Amino acid sequence: MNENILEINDLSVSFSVSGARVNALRGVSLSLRHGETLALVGESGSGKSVTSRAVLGILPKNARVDGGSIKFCGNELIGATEKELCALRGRQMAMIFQDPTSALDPIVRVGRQISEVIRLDKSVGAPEARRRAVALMGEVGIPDPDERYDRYPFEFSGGMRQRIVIAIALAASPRLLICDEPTTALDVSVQARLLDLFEKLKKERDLSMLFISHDLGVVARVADSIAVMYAGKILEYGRSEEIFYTPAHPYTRALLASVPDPDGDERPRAIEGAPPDMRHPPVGDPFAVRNPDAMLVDYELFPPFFKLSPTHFAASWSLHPCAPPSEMPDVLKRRIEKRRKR
Amino acid sequence: MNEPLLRINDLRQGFGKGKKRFYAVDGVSLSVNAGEIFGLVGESGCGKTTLGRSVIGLYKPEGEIFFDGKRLTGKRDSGDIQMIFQDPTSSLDPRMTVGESVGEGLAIKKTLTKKELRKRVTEALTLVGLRPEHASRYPHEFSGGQRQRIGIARAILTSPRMIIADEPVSALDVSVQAQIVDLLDSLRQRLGLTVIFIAHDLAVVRYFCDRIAVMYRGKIVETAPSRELFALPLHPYTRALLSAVPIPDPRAERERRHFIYTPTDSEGQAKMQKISPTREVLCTDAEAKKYIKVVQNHTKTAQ
Repeated sequence: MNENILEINDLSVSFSVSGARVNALRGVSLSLRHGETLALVGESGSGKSVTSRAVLGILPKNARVDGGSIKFCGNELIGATEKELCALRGRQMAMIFQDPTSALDPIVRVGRQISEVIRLDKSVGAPEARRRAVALMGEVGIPDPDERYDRYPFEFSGGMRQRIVIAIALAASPRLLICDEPTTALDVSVQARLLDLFEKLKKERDLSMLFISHDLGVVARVADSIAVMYAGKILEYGRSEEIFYTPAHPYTRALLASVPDPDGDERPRAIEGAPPDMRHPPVGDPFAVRNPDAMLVDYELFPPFFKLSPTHFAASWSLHPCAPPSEMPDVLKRRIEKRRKR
Repeated sequence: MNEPLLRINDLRQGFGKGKKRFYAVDGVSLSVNAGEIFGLVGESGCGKTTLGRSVIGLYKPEGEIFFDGKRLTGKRDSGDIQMIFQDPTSSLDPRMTVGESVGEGLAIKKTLTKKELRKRVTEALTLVGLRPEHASRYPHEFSGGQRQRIGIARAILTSPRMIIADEPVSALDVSVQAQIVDLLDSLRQRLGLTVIFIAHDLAVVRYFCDRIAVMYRGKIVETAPSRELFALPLHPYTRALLSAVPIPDPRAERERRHFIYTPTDSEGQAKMQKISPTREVLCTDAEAKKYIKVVQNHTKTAQ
């Protein structure tokens, strides 16, 4: 049996924006193991949301898949008909978006929004659907679900609304849950409770998750594996601990060093400059212009993935045997050292 | 002792009428010293933005606000206090050039000639790391980080003494956040600014601010120097808030316990009490005694 629930191979997606082509994804490959959480991290415009939308087949009209393949449970999704995709969306795979308010229908009672997904299974009758929806609301931590079933979205707080969205996503018992910044719009204490909920659901329901976030603290909490994206490419991927404790790509290191550490007083280090303009993506390592240690080859040729462990890969010329040894930023070195001692 | 630059006394700002009236800021007193970076943290709806807006004069609150010893009433037209907003896109007029937006604060006073104004705009843009020629461009031509720089340039144009920055980095990518925080810090040093930094992200506040006030439901529950607050949070709400901040470290995250804060019945009797020369906590007399002991023990073991 194939243990990967999702396999993306060399996926390229471009957008046509006022006459120009913007290359949002430029050959992205990744795989998600059954029952695990893969986090896609990167800054805005790096291509993480485009990747998730391509999986669900909900790219905007001006987008075009230029090549590659997406396999879900062994079935190819690129080129699948809308009908085939509809059979999967919401049933086999579901998505949770950043903003729970716009994901809910404001004039439909929340319970109904959950039970209508349950009733996609034609054999389930209305009373049974209601019973299951109430149970789901309880499972995602909504107090008094039976009484809340008939309320409208505006009667709930942001965190509770996101729980309803999660209940809707879970209603058809999907195998894959795609979460696009699911806690970004919420307060930290609400976020903490939702992340606990994701962990519980993953264990109890044997869910696989593709988790998109720019917040490395959140990623540290939920991810089994991490793929670091930048300018439409994956620059590094590995197990969560490999990315956090032995980051190898200069961008991953710079990104980690730019995050303030809530557990220490040290100042983070900003990354100078801005991400590249994707209408004219750089030919070499896209991070080269912002990397003070970049070599000539970084500007000319995109590096291959160098294997650091059976599960850890990074695309950086600095890992080539002939390259001079590259140093981690001091801030990051001290931070990792401090954590090792604990 | 020196008079603080900003002193707020029992400030209340309510919204709505009659029975529905509620106070977003409910009896806040605090003082901010000149040259200080003062952090105001709390979750959405706690009143931190309302407090900031009251100081700048966007509301007419009850209570007193003293700036540099003088009581502030009505309109603030001196330009001594300026504000930076969260969303750099919606706080800039898309149809005005950057130069017009940045210069507006002085242009409406009509005290400067066009040439003088242009010089001031150029100075402000240079100070925030933009180029003089950027003045003739429009906001959409800039990235989020650059737009926030424009917002900062506009704020410093009137040579303010205090800047209130309301979540100035939360709409930005992490790598750019640090750039903007570094910029605010260098401006503070070069221009001798005092900064009130309103944020929900405690990690940013921790390294950037000298002193922090934690707000909850319209009240300040704890003020302390940044280091002390993180080393030893006293108020249960502060503890809960700190425990919820995710740490970018998978092992630490796995071992972590989250506290959940539930308000107690004694909340009504709580008042702001001095726990140490530098710390204040909203608590009852009994709790204050307990906190004083905790702080004393902590200082002993730390020595």
